[in-house]
Amino acid sequence: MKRKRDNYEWGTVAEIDVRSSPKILLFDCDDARSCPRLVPLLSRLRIIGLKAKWFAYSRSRHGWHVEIGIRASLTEAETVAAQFALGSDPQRETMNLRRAIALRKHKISPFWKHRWNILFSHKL
Amino acid sequence: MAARSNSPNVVYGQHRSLALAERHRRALGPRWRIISSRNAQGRFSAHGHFFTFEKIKKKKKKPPTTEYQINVKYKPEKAAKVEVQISVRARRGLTRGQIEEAVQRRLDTGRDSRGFRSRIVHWERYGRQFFGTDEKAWNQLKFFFRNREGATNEEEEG
Repeated sequence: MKRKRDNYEWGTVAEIDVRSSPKILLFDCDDARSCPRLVPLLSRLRIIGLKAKWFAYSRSRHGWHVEIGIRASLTEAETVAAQFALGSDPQRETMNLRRAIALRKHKISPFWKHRWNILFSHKL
Repeated sequence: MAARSNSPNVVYGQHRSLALAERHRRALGPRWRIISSRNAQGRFSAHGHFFTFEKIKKKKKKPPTTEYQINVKYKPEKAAKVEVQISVRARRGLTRGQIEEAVQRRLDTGRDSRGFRSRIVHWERYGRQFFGTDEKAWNQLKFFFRNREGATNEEEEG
């Protein structure tokens, strides 16, 4: 939704919920009335070779957000691949991959290091 | 023997032992503590003869803050559109209208709206990123918008 006031045209206004960390996987599941089951997530993590320390589920507008704390520390590209393998929203992971490549190509600023892979709590 | 100081939150006492001072402290109320072994004149007693009691103040809780990401397109009257992304740290639970108004007010007047304390974290335009202290970042953004208008007017004049 875009609203115009004087010279300003306001686009998306969103509240950031979780910021990116090399030890956290952010899983966004859209079109799910019931929450994503834990067993398939654990089995996929086992195949990848990652061990989960904790899981945090939260309801989003269209589905569920799952935060997965892992023992290993992953690079940006590895994080995107792991999130894709777990079945996160493909559109979101495509944009994340674009950001991961851009972070590798250009100089990473401390700001983007914590914000390239985020989950919004809600869009206003 | 107890003496009141000028401040209602500080009381001086003279006791033979710490146990008696503790009894005095309990008598004053639940939220009092012994802060030093000095009397009102500042005389210090190595054996804890003089005591100063102070009321424990309640700490004010800071309202929880969160980070908002805002996409703004700035359209000067006779210039091309400029799109910037602003990250602002402000208190939780704000509405879209409040955020828009606060950002606009901050850019126009340099002041925060009533009941709203914002802190710009970062803003960027086409990969160019701007950081710095709060005031510096806001001013950079403000001057960027102003210069945008100015540059276009000059071009038109030329």
